[in-house]
Amino acid sequence: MTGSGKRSLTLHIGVLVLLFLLPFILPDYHQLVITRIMILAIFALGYNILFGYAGLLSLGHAMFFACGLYAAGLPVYHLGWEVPLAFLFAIVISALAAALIGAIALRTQGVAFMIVTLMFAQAVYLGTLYFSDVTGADEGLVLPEHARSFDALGMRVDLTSPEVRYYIALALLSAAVLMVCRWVNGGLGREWVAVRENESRTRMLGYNTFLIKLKAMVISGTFSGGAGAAYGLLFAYVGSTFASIQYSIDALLFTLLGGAGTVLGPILGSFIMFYLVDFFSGHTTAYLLATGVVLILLIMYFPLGVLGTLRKKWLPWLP
Amino acid sequence: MAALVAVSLLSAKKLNRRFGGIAAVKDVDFSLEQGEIRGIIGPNGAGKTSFVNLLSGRLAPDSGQVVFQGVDITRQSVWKRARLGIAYSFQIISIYPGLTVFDNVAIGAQLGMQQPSKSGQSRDQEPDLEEVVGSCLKLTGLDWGRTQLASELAYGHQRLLEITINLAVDPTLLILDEPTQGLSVDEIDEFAGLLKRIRSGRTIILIEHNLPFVMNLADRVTVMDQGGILAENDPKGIQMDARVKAAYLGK
Repeated sequence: MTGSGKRSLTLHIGVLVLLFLLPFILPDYHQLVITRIMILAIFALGYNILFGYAGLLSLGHAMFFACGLYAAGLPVYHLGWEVPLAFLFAIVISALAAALIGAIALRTQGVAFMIVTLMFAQAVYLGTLYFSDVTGADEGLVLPEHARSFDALGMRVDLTSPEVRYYIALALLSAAVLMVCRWVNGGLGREWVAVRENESRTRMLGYNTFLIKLKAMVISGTFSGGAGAAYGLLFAYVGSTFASIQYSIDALLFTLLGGAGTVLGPILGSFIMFYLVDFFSGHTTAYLLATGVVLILLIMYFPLGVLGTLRKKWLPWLP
Repeated sequence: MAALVAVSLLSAKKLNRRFGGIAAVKDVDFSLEQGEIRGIIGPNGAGKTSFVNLLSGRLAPDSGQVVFQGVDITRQSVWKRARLGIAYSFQIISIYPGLTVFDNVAIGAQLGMQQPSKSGQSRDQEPDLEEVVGSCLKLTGLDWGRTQLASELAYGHQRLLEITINLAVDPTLLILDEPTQGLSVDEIDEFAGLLKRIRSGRTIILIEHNLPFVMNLADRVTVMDQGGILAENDPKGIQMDARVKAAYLGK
């Protein structure tokens, strides 16, 4: 147990160190791409807590991403808030939103839960379109100049610098990975898995399974919201696209592809998806078709996702 | 009896539960003493499982009252009752098939460890958890298979695992619903031995069809028929009861 714990810790730190070193060798373009991937990977990490560990399939996680995005972007745009304050505000709002929606949606199960989350997300999406005076709707809002930098620890942090953005994204991702590792290897993770594997048994044992699922929902929603806030603030743009169903599906896809219920799976899934689309769109206009074919092949040979299948076959110690 | 008043661990008053037109449990009064093994027998459809479901909270009664350790638990949810110390072991095996034996038991042990010493317990739970799980597995003799997937165990071992999970929570009252169902003769003997080992400090309700087994283990036996209690006595008295013979044994 301790031996495998050490190995998995080494692996996770190794991945983060690798990401730390990448900008020194990569051209600017990839630096930007990986910054975006890392932010979306936080989103997928959050999604994976709910789906991969607690076994709840949400089709509406874009609402939490958008919730964080707007909760950070709107005060900056309309009220002139500073970036760090807006970020913290977005985290709090996302957690509250997840608790509220969780308290309602978790009364349903299975397919009904998918539908309810989908409906809530559509309501949020349509809401962002409807209140276009405030949100900018489809066109979105470009955050003003004062939000392109902030002071922290006596330093001026310049958000227009690609390196700065990259390392902020990496810092956030690292924090997220370490938190997820801690949770899923501890008691909370065991409770989530127990609910996923056999909820009625878990309730009969004496667990308040509703509360366990609500915790997963709040943590998952907060991660997603945090990712949304970071995305909006780093790239100085908020818009309705991020609330659309495509982003809900992306989170699911990244997680499935990399391996649901593995810590690094969603991160790997985000990378694979992004670079598949990136690669094919450079060669053909039918890039989505080509991406689809590759995805089908991956799912055929890695039915549990890349890391999920590797874990089952060769690496049982992988968290 | 004056000085030694028996402690009633659990009691039920006038419990009723109907399914459509059928009274599954009707007007049942029931009392259970601390530390006893109580057999519940009766023909199929007598209402045994429905009755214990009312005790464990899997079903809500239409009327009546359930009191556990002096607390009225009639309206309490399943998980709250379980936290008070009522454990139910399923007739149809209900384990975590996708997890290892160790993880199965750890889910129970984790809850059990949260309960008594909420203060004074150090935060580093992990080494402790291993110990608790290990000792539970040793107790039921599943120690050899801790890294196996639960779904890959043989049927008899899954039964044992089911009970090990419950034991890991360290319940006061253990309700076993037909635990010997599907077990071989040898396995039943081993299981009787296990119950004798784990009974100290616990109260056990045993729903059984296997009469020699229940007569051998139980301190008292309750006979149910058509939703009501037909008789209640020690095993010898039950075996001689003419009504019981007529309703059940004689058939």
